[in-house]
Amino acid sequence: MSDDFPHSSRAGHYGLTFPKDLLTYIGVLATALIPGNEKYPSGGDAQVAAFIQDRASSTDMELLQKLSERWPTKSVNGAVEALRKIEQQDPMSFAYLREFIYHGYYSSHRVLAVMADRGYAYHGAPQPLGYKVPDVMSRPTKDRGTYIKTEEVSHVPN
Amino acid sequence: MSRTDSPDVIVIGAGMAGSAISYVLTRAGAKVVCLEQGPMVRPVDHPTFGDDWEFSMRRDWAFTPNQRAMPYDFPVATNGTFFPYLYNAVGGSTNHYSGFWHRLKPVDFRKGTEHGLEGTIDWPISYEELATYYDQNDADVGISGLVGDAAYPARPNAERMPIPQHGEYYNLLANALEKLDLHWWPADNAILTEDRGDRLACNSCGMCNLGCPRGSLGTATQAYIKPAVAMGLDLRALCRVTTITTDAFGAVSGVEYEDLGNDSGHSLSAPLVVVACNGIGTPRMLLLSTSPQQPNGLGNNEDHVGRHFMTHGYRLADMWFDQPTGHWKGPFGAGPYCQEWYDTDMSRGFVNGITITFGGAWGPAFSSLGGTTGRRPASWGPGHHEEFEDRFDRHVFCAIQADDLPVASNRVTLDPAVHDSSGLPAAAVHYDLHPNTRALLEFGSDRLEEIGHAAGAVGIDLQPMDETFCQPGWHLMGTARMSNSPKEGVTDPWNRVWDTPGLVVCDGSSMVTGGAGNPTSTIGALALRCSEKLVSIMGGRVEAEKVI
Repeated sequence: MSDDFPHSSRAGHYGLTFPKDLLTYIGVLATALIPGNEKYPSGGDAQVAAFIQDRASSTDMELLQKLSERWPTKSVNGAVEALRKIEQQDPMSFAYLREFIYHGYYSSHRVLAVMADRGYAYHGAPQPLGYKVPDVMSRPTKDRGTYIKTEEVSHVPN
Repeated sequence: MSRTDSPDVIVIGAGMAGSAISYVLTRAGAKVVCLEQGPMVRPVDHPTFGDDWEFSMRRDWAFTPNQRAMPYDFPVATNGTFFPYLYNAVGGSTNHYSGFWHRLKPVDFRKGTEHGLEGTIDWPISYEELATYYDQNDADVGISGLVGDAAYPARPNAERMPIPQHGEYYNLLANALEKLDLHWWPADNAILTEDRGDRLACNSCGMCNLGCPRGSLGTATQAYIKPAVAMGLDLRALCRVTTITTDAFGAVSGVEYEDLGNDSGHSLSAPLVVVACNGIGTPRMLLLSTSPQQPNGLGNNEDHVGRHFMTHGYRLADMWFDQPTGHWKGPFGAGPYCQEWYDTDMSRGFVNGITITFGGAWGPAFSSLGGTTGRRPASWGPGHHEEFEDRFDRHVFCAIQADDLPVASNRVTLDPAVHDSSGLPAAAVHYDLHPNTRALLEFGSDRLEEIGHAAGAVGIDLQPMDETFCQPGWHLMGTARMSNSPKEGVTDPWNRVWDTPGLVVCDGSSMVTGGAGNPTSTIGALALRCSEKLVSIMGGRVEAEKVI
């Protein structure tokens, strides 16, 4: 990893440790946003809180701390109510939460494993594997389109 | 790496133009120093090896410097109508572009003749004069595609590798365009589909916008910087030019720059300075540099620096299907394109035209959040998983790209209230969507919906064009345009700044019109043409050669 490039999105870059209560808070929010079912794990079980802690800047941590103080909860049911209120009263914060949590969820190995079981040909990290795609690209069946030659450009009345 | 303290040329900026010029001049035997305020980007810096790659798109690999906020980025203030997208690093924005490789068409060079609206002027050159340089830039960068699009002049000398492989979305839209009997063609891409030297062929990972550790994506670094350094280019990354200096007669004498690595200031003299800092960075650089003869900024005695800012009208859309689209497979953003409505047809009530493009659409987080428009995110709560499966692998990215007018009041200035880490004023960009561009986008939206329905789309979400409309500003053009007269532009037909001996500007800011296609190919061609002229002026002669 080169020294000049900050890599601020990578796990551990900021090296922050959230207070236990904040981790719990994010966990219940993540479970409320994305509950588990018979196929997919919940946001909590997908370790979204750890994902967020590992990538949060001090600004992120401050924002999340403020949300936890304004809309406190320790239960999933309470988180559902809190999220409804955040969505209505502070849509920007809701969008921020949802974006962070959805990204954490769809980066989770557990979720990727479920997606693979369900037949998605998606393996998470783009490299080094890439994707094998058969060469069945359509081609135009005839010439279409024209262009105006330089010497034919003329003034259009407007 | 070479080091010289008495260069023949200083090139500011290592994007496509600066890199190409650095390469040609170095190859001709000139002592060249290229100063780039961003870092070198190495294969290990790309986040494509992590399952959390999509998150990187929101942070350090975001398109806009205002979101990335890297220490070497400079803020760009806007009036809220577009997101400025540029990348400060060796290679510039080619580090994370889509590689979509359009040329301008002959008519794009003659829009002054065609309509002259909002002070549009003709380019001081024609397509035919630039064609050979387009071909050379294609060969240097490495282009995959299909020669033969009747919507363009023939390219008998253009080299092409086979088109890259895309997910299922490609055929969905291509077959719809075929059914509607509309013009379409597989896009040219600056993406290798065959190994070339130490660059590997694309493996369809889909994430070009995170950069390419394989070297498949045709960056300026791959095409020009690497061979230039091997030949002796003195490349100085993390070196931010703070001003261009002039002598008592107003001729360029060199630059002052800050080494961001150790916060030290330096002066460097040279008789020739090339500014290639993109359509926002270049006018900023010129405005930051003054002389007694040009107190309002170098090249700005006629008040053209920063003006005529064009970013292409862009309206993005998400199409949703009830069958697999494989949108994360294959190069991003450059599948089939349609130029059925590229040329001016006054029966529509507006001038200029559009290109409609269909491409990949990133990964599961992106789709779950409703894609580009965000208009139908997968709901939270118990219904999330079912809705997610209605979105992921059901999604196509669409873009309507409009030929902007070079409006004088759309301009780049300096923002004295906001500064970069060196204390330099930020760039401030004022851009208003012209009614003609709005009409183009609305027309294009109707056509897009027709195409989507023919393809079987079950949902089409367009960016709303209300007061919240904020379009992507991927392409930054027009702000130091070429001209036949100092009354009309900033540089002469050879990119030499009027009335400023020794100063050259060559990048997207040089473009007089934007056409309705991505500009990197044109920027590269302009740079090769400009640099060949510089070589002849400097007393050498170089035959244009292929890199391989």
